[in-house]
Amino acid sequence: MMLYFILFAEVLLVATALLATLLGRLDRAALWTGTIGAIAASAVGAGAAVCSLLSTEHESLRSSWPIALGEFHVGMDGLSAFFLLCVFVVSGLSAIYGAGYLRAYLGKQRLAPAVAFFNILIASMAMVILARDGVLFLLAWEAMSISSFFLVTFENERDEVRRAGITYLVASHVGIVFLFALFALFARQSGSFNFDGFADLASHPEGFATMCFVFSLIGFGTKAGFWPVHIWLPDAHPAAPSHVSAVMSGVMIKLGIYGLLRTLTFLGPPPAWWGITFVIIGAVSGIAGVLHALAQHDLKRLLAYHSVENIGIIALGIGVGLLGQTYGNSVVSFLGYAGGLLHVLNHGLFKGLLFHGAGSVIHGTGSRNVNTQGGLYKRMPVTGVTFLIGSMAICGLPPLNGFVSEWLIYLGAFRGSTSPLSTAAGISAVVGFVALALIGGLAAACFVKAFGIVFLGEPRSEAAAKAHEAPWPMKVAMIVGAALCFVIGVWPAGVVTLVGPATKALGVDIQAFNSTLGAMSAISYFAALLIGLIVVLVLLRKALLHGREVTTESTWGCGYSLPTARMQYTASSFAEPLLTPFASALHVEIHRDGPTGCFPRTGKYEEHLQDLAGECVIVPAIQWFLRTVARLGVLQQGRIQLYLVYVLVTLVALLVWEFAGPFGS
Amino acid sequence: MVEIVTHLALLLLFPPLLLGIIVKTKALFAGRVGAPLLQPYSDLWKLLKKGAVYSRTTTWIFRAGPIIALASVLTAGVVLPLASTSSPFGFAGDVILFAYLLALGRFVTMAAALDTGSPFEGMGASREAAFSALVEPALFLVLGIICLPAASVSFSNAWAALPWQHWGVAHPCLLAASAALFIVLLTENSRIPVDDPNTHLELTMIHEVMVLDHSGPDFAFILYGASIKLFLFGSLLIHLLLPISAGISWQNAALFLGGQVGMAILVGIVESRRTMNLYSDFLLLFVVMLNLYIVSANRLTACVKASALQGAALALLPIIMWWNGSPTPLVHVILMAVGTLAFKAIVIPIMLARAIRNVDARREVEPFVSLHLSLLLAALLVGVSFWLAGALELSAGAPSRLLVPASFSTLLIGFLVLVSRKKAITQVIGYLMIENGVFVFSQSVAAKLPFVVELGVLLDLLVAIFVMNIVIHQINREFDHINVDKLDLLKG
Repeated sequence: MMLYFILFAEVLLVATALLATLLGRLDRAALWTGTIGAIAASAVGAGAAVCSLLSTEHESLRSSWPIALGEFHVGMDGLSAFFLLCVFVVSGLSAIYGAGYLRAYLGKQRLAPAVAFFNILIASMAMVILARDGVLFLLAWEAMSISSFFLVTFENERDEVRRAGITYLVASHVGIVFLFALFALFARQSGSFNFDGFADLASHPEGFATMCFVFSLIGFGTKAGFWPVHIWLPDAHPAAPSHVSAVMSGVMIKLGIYGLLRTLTFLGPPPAWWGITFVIIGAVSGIAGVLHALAQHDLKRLLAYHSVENIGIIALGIGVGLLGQTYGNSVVSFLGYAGGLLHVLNHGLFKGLLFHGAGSVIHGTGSRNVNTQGGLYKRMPVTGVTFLIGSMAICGLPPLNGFVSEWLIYLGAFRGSTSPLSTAAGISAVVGFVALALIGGLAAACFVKAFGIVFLGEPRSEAAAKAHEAPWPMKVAMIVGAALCFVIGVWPAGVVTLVGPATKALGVDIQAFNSTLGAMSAISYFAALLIGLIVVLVLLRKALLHGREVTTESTWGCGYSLPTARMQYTASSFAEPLLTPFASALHVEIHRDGPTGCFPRTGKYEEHLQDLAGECVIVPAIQWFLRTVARLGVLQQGRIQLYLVYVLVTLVALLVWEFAGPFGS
Repeated sequence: MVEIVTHLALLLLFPPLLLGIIVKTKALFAGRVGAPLLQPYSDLWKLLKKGAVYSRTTTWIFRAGPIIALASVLTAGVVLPLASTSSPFGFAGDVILFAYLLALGRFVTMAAALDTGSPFEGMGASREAAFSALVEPALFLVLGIICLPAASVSFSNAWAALPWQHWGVAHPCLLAASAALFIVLLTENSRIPVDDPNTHLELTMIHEVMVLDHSGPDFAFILYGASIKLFLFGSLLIHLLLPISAGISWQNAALFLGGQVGMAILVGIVESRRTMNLYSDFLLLFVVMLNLYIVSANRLTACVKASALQGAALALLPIIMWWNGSPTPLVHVILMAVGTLAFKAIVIPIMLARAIRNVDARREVEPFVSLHLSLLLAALLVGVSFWLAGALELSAGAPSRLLVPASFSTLLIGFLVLVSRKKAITQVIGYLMIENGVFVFSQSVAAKLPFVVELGVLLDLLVAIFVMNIVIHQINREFDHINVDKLDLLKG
């Protein structure tokens, strides 16, 4: 039943996308049509997903279609419903936000494509999750990549946007090559592209599961943004309009995670090294992501690197879950998967919120550079408060939602390290535990920087001093997002109930789930206690200061009474103590030109961070590839006859291979 | 109910006393009377009664910082077991909540600091961020180790599973965890050597510079919150080190409070390390006094004992120099201390004592120079070495002004003993004193002098003593006494 509601939402999205395109030059009408369609579809979809999670029934729908290979086969289980919920909640909020954000472009740029591709992106993401057929899945996956490519290149008059778009397009298609290979392998083994057939594969030949695991890790990992194949991500996310960044970073990259989890359900009991691989990928992505984020001064780029970090945290959770599954420990497995999945939702919420906040900053000041901001809180209080809540949530601080999912992963990793798993598994669980702590500490440093330098202190530029608050649709989206972060943080039991069916779809015994609920209510009590104490202290302070002298002065500067905004710490100076120790490992270029003499005139400190993975892994890999391919240059002679010979030879060879070769009939 | 009341009373009332104890300890080490133990309570009371000054730049975040920070450490204190193995409010997974509540406190304090737009507070926040990011994994590893024996991430289970039998099984691990936890405690509570809670304005400061603009009740909240944080880390350490059992009992309360006081005193001692400079001077004076004693002593065993004592004092010297901040690596220092202790205070004295027993020589009879005169000469040599050290300007770079004079006087008095005595054993002691002098001198240039040189000298000495031992035996057999002045009879 709920499946039909989701399909209805799909139809609604595609229809409004078409309508918006037809409206063409009527920008305002196109914007409203698209937005209303997206919001309505998201509401219907999110509601249906929640109902499906609560009723925990499996649904599927099959019908033939006129295209060769595959069929139209969609279905919904706990895992799909959970990811659908994430997609619709974040997309709905971003659609509301986009209505306000895109208004700034009215009259400057055609809005219809942006609106239409946005709705198609949502629809294709939902279809990826629903698809139960390999060909349908790949089609939806490709639609998702293409529509997001057009959204990334929305401001295509800018050079860096075009470059980011191309990087993104190439990375997506390198990834999808591996997915083609993956599904071809499955189809060859099971005889059709049907997911049910994949899952029913009784026995795999030697090495089949390993090959599938590696292919899916590269193919889906590229979309998810695992280190080192994340390099498209810090370029593409800042280039896109902010509401699109929110959707891409909040949910689209999570579909890589969905694809991985779905593939894992086809592959039977996981060997230990899969889990260990996930933990290592998670730890490396997490730490590398947050360290790169520390050095960024472009607010959206900073957030993009935090997506790499959070994908790392999710991978840690999945790794712990896999290890639990390998060794038949359902509690470890549940905690790991539940933490990872909940983090998918949580990251969608707070990262969406943060990208919205960054969008408001750009909207209000016209700049993404952290170092030119400052004092924005007084000028845009709603953005400020919601950005603060998002920052605290992403650092995993109680009583917000990030804490709940990290808490579950910590618990899973700890249980994993004490349960009698193998030594390697135990060690990797400890690695997960400590990596999570280091990530948490560095993330806190990074977000104190991001929030503090942008919103607090005095404005560092004219534009920042004249900043203005965002219009109401943007404010609504941010307030709702912040409220959801808070609600999940103080009432985790409710949302963990929704994760249960998803972990069940991954083959985890649901018994373990009940034991966690008790601790979940304890988190609620302590959140209440914390808030209660804050209220009491606020009242106490008020009572104490009542009737006493409270004066306002300029900031204490050791007796210096004419402070200027330029005296403040900047993002670069804030990050310096943390970056210097990592400088050699990270390829940070530091230019220091310190003040000299008794009356120094100038002093300069600059740092530039190249992406380590890009510089040390991807670029050499591409160069090697180009060198190798160059050897094929002899084939290119520029004569049409010769090319026709190639075609003929290939055709004959294929025919011979088909009818006389090892696969001959 | 009793449990809850005790828990809350301890949490709310006791912590400021810790700050008082630390200040008192430091005062005593510095030779001052110091503020009364209960001073922090009156400070808090006074601050709570004051008005407040706010910067024009700040927003509500600046005002909320102290409040949320205090609320978060209080909540963390509610989770943590105090004078019993369990907290009345603990639950499965509370360890992680505890750590993250502390992180929340840190986050809001840093945000409040940045809210002022002051370069000082930005600096403090930046440093705090760097330190806490690096402390976080250490803290989690320690917490993980604590939780391992119980296989449960809750304090109640962890402490209940950690009585003394586990110290037997997992001893080194828990010991290392305690040491790490103490370092985390010093870092998180911005104590020396990571930070200095006493000065507010120096550029080296971290936490104190972050709260520069807070005043009145806000500052009272910060001070109170800081004392609670120290108290919480102290509680962790106490449960790791002391056998606190389940339930409420006088024994538990005494152990817990005693442990807290001990922890505060320990922090105070660590912070008094500047005044520890005095100790190296004391030690050097002791070495010089021993020189004079050896010169004036009549009984051979007393001389050997004094030289053993001198060896032990010298073994302590590099450790105290390191504590005072000498750049010598710790491994080097430990090797030096252990080697010196082993040879100069144990091996060589035992060999000498055995030689004395074997040859049955008790006293230094008829020395070339009478004992009284040699004491006078020795005193003169001490004076000369002080003059010499001053004239050579060698003390300038040395960590202590007494190092060079002490080394010269030991060296010269060693020579005096060599030339003025007849017994072979006293001769060996003279050589030993010369070596001691070289050792003390090496301390003034410890960073530059390779350890190998020191080892070589020690080895020479050891060989020399072996030879002496054989010679003593030979002389004794041939002439029935051990006076070296009869050796000239051997010449042809």
